[in-house]
Formats: sequence, C-alpha cells, structure tokens
Amino acid sequence: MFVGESKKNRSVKGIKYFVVLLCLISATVHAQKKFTIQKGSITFTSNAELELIEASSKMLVGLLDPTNNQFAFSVSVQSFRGFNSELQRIHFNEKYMESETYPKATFIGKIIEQVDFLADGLYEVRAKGDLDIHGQKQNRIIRGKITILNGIVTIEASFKIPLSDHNISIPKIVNQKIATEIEVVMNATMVMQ
Amino acid sequence: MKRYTGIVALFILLMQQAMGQVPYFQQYFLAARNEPVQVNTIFEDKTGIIWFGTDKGLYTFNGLHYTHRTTTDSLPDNHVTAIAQDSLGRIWTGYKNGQIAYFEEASVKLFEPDEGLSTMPVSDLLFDRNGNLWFSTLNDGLYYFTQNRLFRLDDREGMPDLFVYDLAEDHYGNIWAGTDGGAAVCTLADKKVKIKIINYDDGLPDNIVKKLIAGETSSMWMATEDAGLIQYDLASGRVTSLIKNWEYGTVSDFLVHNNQFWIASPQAGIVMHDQKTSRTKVYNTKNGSGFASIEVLWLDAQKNIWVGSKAGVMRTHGDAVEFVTEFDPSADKNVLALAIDQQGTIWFANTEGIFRRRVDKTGSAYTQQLLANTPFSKYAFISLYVDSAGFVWAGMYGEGAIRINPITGKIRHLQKELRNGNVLSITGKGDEVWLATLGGCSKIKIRGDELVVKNYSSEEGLISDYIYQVFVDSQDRVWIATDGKGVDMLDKDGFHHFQEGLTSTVVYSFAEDANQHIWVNTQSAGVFEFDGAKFRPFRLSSKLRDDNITIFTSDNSGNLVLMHDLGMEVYDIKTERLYFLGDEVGIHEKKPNLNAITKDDLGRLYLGTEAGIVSFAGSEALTHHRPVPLLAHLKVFDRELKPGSYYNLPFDENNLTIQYLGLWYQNPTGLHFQYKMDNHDVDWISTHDLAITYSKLLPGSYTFHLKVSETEDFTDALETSFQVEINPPFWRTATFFIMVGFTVILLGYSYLRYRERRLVKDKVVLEAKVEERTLQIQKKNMEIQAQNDEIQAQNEEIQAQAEEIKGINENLENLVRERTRELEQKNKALEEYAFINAHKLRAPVASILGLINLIGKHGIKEQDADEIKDRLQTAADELDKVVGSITKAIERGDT
Repeated sequence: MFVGESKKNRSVKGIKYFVVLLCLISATVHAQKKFTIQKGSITFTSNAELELIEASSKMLVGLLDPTNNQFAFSVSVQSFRGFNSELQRIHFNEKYMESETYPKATFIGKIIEQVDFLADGLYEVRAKGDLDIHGQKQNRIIRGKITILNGIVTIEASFKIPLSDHNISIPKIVNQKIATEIEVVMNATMVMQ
Repeated sequence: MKRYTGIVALFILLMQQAMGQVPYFQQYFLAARNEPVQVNTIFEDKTGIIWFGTDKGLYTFNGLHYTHRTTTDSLPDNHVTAIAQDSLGRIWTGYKNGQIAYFEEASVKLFEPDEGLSTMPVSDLLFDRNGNLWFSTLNDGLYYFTQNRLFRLDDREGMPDLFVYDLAEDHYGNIWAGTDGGAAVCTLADKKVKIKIINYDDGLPDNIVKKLIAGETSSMWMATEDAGLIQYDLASGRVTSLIKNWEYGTVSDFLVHNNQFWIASPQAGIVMHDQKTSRTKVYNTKNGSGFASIEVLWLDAQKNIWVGSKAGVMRTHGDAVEFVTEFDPSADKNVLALAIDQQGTIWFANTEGIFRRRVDKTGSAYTQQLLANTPFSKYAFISLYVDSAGFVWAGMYGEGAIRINPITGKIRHLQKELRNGNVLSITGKGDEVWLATLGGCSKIKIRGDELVVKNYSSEEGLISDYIYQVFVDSQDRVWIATDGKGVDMLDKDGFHHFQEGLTSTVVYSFAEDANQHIWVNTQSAGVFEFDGAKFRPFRLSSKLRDDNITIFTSDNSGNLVLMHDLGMEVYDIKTERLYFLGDEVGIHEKKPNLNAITKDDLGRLYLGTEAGIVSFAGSEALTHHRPVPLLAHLKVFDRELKPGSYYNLPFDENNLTIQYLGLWYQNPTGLHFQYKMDNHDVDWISTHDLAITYSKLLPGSYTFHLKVSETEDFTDALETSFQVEINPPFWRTATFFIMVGFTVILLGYSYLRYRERRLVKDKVVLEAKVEERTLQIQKKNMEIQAQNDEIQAQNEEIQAQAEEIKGINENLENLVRERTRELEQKNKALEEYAFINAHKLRAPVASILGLINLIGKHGIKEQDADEIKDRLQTAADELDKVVGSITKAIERGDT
C-alpha cells in the first residue's frame, strides 16, 4: 500500500515524493499492470442558505491495482475552479484548506467487493480507505459505480464530506454562506498502463 | 441358601442400543405440519415474545399465536439470520442478503447507511452498552455504526478473518467477535477500534470460534468448531476446556443455564454438561427427529430452552424431569420396581423379568435381561433394592428374594429363611436390609458374606402381617406400614403402634422431611404427618390433584415428592408451597406403580410407571417462574390503540375491549386470570377468557389491573396495569363550568356596567329635560301671572257691574211687586165676573138642553111644535144677551 505523505512533509515536496513513489512502484511491479486515470474530475458543492458554491478540478490523478483492488486517488486543492469570485477562491485556499500546508486531498484504500477488472461488467462497489483532507484522515466507506468496457474502467462516486471531519472551521460570520456538509461528485476514466 | 455361581447361562446379553434419558421436548410447527422450516436464530424480546428468524421469513410467538412476515410484508429477504433489540425497544433483523431492517411500531424500515451494506449474510447483530450497532457478516468482516457513520473492520484494522460468526459484549464493554481466525476483541474509542486477537498462540485449541457468551465478571465462554467449549479468563488470559477430549462434533450454538451448559451440535444433537455433577448427557436423533441439524439455542426469561433446527423448533424446560420410555429388547414399559447400583446402572423389573440398563458417554443405552436361562425366569419380580455393599436384591411374588452380585453375577436365594415368600418391597439402611412381606417383615443383617435373618410378624408383636413397606429413619427407628392396621414403629424399646388420626389405616409408604418429621401415604385418604403421637392430615390435601398417591418419598433437600396419575407434586417444607409438574413437562397419565421409587447417588429420583421411567432431579431443580401477564390489544370500539400505560379518551370513546394473555410457554392454555378495573369493579374477577369489554364507561379515571397464575392461587401472581382517563364531554368539564361561570360573571358585570352607564346617561338627559321644563314652567308661570292680573282687573269690573245689577234688580223687584199686585186685583175681579156670567149662561143653556132632551124622548108633536119653538127662542135670546155683555166687558177691560 502506498501511503505517500508522511506527516512531516507538509510542503509541496510531498506531492513530488508521492508522485515519484507512485511511478517507482508502478515501474517495479512491471509484471502487473495498473489502471491510471486518463480523464478525471472532482466537483464539490456547498449548498448553504445564502450562497451556492460549486467548484471543480480536472486534475484528479489516481491508480488502481486490479490484482489486489487497491487504489489511490489524489487531487491538488489549488486546482479547483468555478468559485463565485476570485476572492472566494483565495479564501478557500488560504483560510479554509490551507493549501500551502496541505496541498493535496487524497483517498487511499481498497475496494471491498471482488471485481474482475479485466472483464466487461457493471459493479456497485464500496471503497474503503482513508480520506485525507486538510491534513486530517478519516476512514470512510464510499459507494461507487464501476463500469468496465473494452479495457476502460469508468468510476463514478458521490459522497458527502462534513467539514468538521477534517478540522475545517467556518467562522460564525459566514456560516450561512458555507454549508457544514459538502457534496462531492467524482468521475474518472482509467486505462491500463 | 441356594447358590448359583456365575455361569454364562445366567445372562443373555442382548446388547441393543436404545435411547437415553430425555426431558420432555415440545415440538412447535411454524408452518403446516411436515413442512420443515429452517430456524436460523431465536430471540426473546423485552416483553417476553419469542422471535424466530427462519429461511421462510420472520415469526413471532406468544404461546398461543404466531405472526409471520415475509418479503410480501416488506422484509428485505425471506432468510432471516440475526435478530436483536435496541435500547428503544425496536427489533432489528439481519438477512442472508446482507440487508438489515428494523421495526418501528409495526412497519418495516430498512437500515440504509450512506456507506452501503454488505451483500454477505449478517450472522449476528449487537447493540453495545453505548447504543452503537455492531454486525458481523460471513466473509465481509465486522461492521460498526457510530456517530452516524458505518465502519468496516477487516485485515487493515487487524481482523484475523472476514468470516465472523458471532458477537458478544464482555464485562468491560469490549466487543468480542468469533471468526475463522480466532476471537477478535474490539475496543471502540471515539470512532476507532483497536483489535486484540486470541488464537492458537494464546492457547486456544481451535481457531474457529462460532459462538461467544460472557461468563461471570471476567470470563468469556467460546464455542469452537472442533474443540467444544473453552473458557477464557480476561484477567489472567487462561484458557480452559469445559469437556476435555471433546468428541461431539462441531458446535453451532450453546447456552449457560444455572450450572448447565447446553451445547448444540448438528452432528451430536444436544450435549448437556452439568458442571455441578460433572455429568454429560446427550439428546440426539434417537430421541426424535427434531434433534437433527440443530443450529440455534435460546434461553428465555422463564428458563425454557428453545431449540432451532433445520426442521423447526422445540422447547424444553431443562432436565429436571426426564423420561426413559424405550427398553429394547423388552417391549414392556411397565416398570414395577427399580433400583440403581453403584455403577449407575438402572435395574428394573417388569412382567418379563429383571433388566439392567446403562448409558454410555454418547448417550446410547444398553439394556440386558438377567436370569433368562435360570429357574428364576418364570418368577414375578416385584421389588428391587441395592444394599450398601452394592449387591442387588430382587423380591419375588411368592418365591422370596434373591441377592445378586452385579459384577460376578452370583445369586443368593432366600426363601425358607423367610416366613413368607411374597416380598412387596425391599428397603434398608447401612448393613441392614428389610423385606416387607405378606407374612410380616424380615430384617437381614449383612456380615461380610453372611446374611443373618430375623423375622418379625404378629408372633413378635407386630400389629399386622401384611406389610407394604419398612422404612428406617434418620434416628434408626424402623417404621412399618401395614395393610389395614396403621403404623407400627420398632425401636430399642420394642413395637409401638400408631393409628390415631388416620382416616385410612392402609398405609403404603413413609417419608422423612427436612425437619425429621415422619409422613405417611395412605390408600385413598392421602398424606398424613406424624406429630409424635398421632397423625394429622396434610394441610394442603385439598390442593392435591389426586387422592390416589402411589409414590411418596422425600428428595435430598428434605422436601416431599409424590406422584399420582395426573402428575407429580412437590411440597417445599420451608416455604410450605406445593408445586405441580404435569403436562408441561410431559408427565401426564403415566400411572406410577406403587412404591416404585429409587434414588441415584446425586439425589436424582427415579420413578417406575406404566409408561416407563420418570426421573426427577429433585426440588432443587425447580425454578419457580411465574407467567407474565401481557396486554395484547386495546381497542376502543373497533379502533386499535397503540400499546402504552396511559390513555386519555374523549367521553364518546368509552367502549374498551382489552385482549390479554399470559406468557407461559410451558402451558399457555392452562392459565387463570384475574382482573379488576379500579373505579368500576368492586373486587377482582376471575376468568379463563382472553378478552374483556367495558362498554359505556362514564367519564372518570380508571386503572385496569391484570393478574395471571398457573393455579387458582394469585397470592404472588405477577400483575400488569394501565390507566385510562375518560374525559367528560366538554359541556361537563370543570373548565367549561368555569368558563360558563366566568362568562356569566362577565356578562353580569358588563350588563351592570351597561345599565349604570345608561342610567347615568338617562340621568343627564333627564336633567336636561328637567331644566327645559323648568324653564317652560317658569315662562308659563309668568304668563299665568299676567293673566291673573288681568283677571283680577276684570274681576273688579265685574264686581262693580254686579253692584249695579243688584241695584237694578232691587228696583225691578219693586216694580214687579207692584204689577203683580195690580194683576192680582184684576184677576180677582175677572174671576168674579166670570162666575156670575157662568151662572147667567147656564140658565139658557140648561133650557136648551132640556128641550132637546124632551124632543128626544117624545119627539116633536104638531101641537107642541110652537111651544117648543117659543121656548127655544126665549132661551136663545137670553143666551145671546149674556154673551154680548161678556164681550163688551172684555173689550172695556174693566174691573
């Protein structure tokens, strides 16, 4: 299992280390091929009383090992676009997500159900892993749909993230503009590499 | 004495496997008869209702009725695999397809966490002491639900295996999970779980842990696949096996009841290990088909043991009462006498002869017939006894008695040494054996190999020769029961006779209770207590269900045990309570044989009946539970009310139907009820009905009480109750009256105020009017005043005129007087003149008249005519003259 970030590395170096590790591992296990994300996006929505905020990122990277059902997904926090104003995006990064310190949000774990990734099929699965956001890990089981067609694996998942789970605190002044629970939708197309 | 040395011909070994002793198991048919229903789980909820999770849906049972739910009733699956109850009282169910559903009121709700559920069967559901939900799956690990989030425990958290069979909470709050890889002890803190594994490395003989039950304080009992039951001590970590060298197969379930472990094995049936006696009994398919493939056991609150198998459900009340009904090769179940030797083998006598029966470890029984090829084979054996040396005595009807060495088979025959060869019963104490015969009784002292016989009959002072039983009590007094002459007692002073107080002098047997009092059993008159001088009837005689008691003895606790055709009754000397064992434990119409009773070394009683042997563990094994009253339905007219303890109803909803029952799985139809509605019923009402209707209840506060008992005695029956308040119709409530009163006062007050205001207003108006009038009057006054003055003036004028008129008047009056005088004078003159003239007138007139008259009378004659004419002429001329003078007088108007 690759858990890229150590708690000590909080700088951007962490990302590099992580990616390098991914490549290394995928390189060494040359006999077993893995699925990597060809195209992937994450959209989150904050639906509060006074404001609706939606932002997405197309910089979702991920790996899926069909031999043991393990996966790792990661997205750069600073890559999210679509805020209602530039100021809002800056606040998002500087104040709430502290993306200088925690540049990545990751989900690393294992798919519970037995899935044959090499055969066509449609599966409703549960992914159990650690969701690491803002430096706070939470063990989560997230449901998703996996479609395998002609060697292409498509993953869709939607889930909720309570901000309190990840130490993200909203000052009272704006609590009617930011929801306490964020809805997230993730889509990814993966191919064997 | 004849001796028969041990020759092969003595015994015919007919080793046959027969069934062991078995308690009464009641079968329950959940579906139509013969239709097998695989029972996966059994659960008793907090109200006492039993739930069955089967492959054909979910059942509930209250002793009388079943309910059945399947997928058509919104169950997510027909295979129900787990049942639990949360702190709110809701029943949760787990299914083979991984789904979980719970019942809210009567409707089924699915448990649908965001994280989704497994698709593997849910093997167990548990709510820990903090209310968190845990559930185990077969091959999908262990899950727990806390703070609204579902978590899965698998290899990542240290679960030894994903196949989890069972969950249990220990004394400290840890959750133990039995898996294929040992036991996983989970400790939950905040949302995270730490796991400690107990497996081979810790001394566990088998890693596959199928079931866990928390023991006393710090121990956990675990059932393994191949090594039976293991006890793990939490403090020390020590592992001990319950039964060493377990050979009963795989364990599917177990339970702990008092000191007994009831273990279910699909291969072996039920293995019952009693920790107190260290004995193991096995109940298997030889006892009935219900013992095949047992999957689950459950102990309910009334200490019934429920057994679920692939075929259905059975219930037993434990092994207090057991039966031996098969004596293959003997076909005769009628056990006339019995005794137990020192090896635990049961010796019994029936019409075919004497047999002995032993049961091996696996529960198989082996019965041998004895004496088959001996001269004794044609004799009738009617009594048996094992003496202190371990020899078996058998009494015959007519041929005396024999003493058998059970190990060597040697037989010693006593007949001529006795006065009578009809040996009705054999008893003894220490090195003495007593034979009760029809020719008195015989005492036989055992001195090594020698037997010294002393006979007692009427010759020695015995009151009667017909003896039913001889009994040696704790003080070595010898009591003798006679047929028709009461009781004799032999002590160092000789014979003493007692009869006073007995209403029947045919005495069958004796018993000694815990207080060392002697009791007797008589023919048709029941049981009597001996007070030292005479007999007193048993205080509860009338409560005994049958007077014909054929077996009477005491158990090791010193309590009395008796048996008649309707069942067994146990009298507790200390509490003075009588307990009846009948149908519900399978004793009914067993027809016990006279004095066919014996006891084993543990104090278990064995009774010989026409239908086999009944064994009874003694009064200690009786757990006295009480039936639980349960209010099943409460209806107002036809509308069903939700269960509760307090109801508030409007005045027109005053027709209550209460349906109730008693939870008493042993004998659900034999219950007695008592109910009372406070404020309506004066006293408790007894009934056997299961419903009561109160109609036309008046407004008020009522409390309904219900009691249930298995007998007609309700002294310590459990009670349940609920309150109903029927509100008076609105127009009779206090509030209404107050409102009305208030309204009345308000109205009155308003009215008064209104009147007041009006009066004030009127007053003002009136005052104005008065003002006005006053002014008017004043004006008028002034006018009148003016008029007055005027009148006054006129008055004076009138006064003056009046004076004037008065003067004139006087004048006039004088004139008038004058004139009147004048007139009067004239009148008078006139009157005189008239008078005179009248006279003058009258003369001529008279003459005329007279002449006429003459004419008339005589007519006129010619000669007279001239005279008449002359007379007439003269008269007429006079008349004319007078008249002419009158006229002249008037014209002159003279005096």
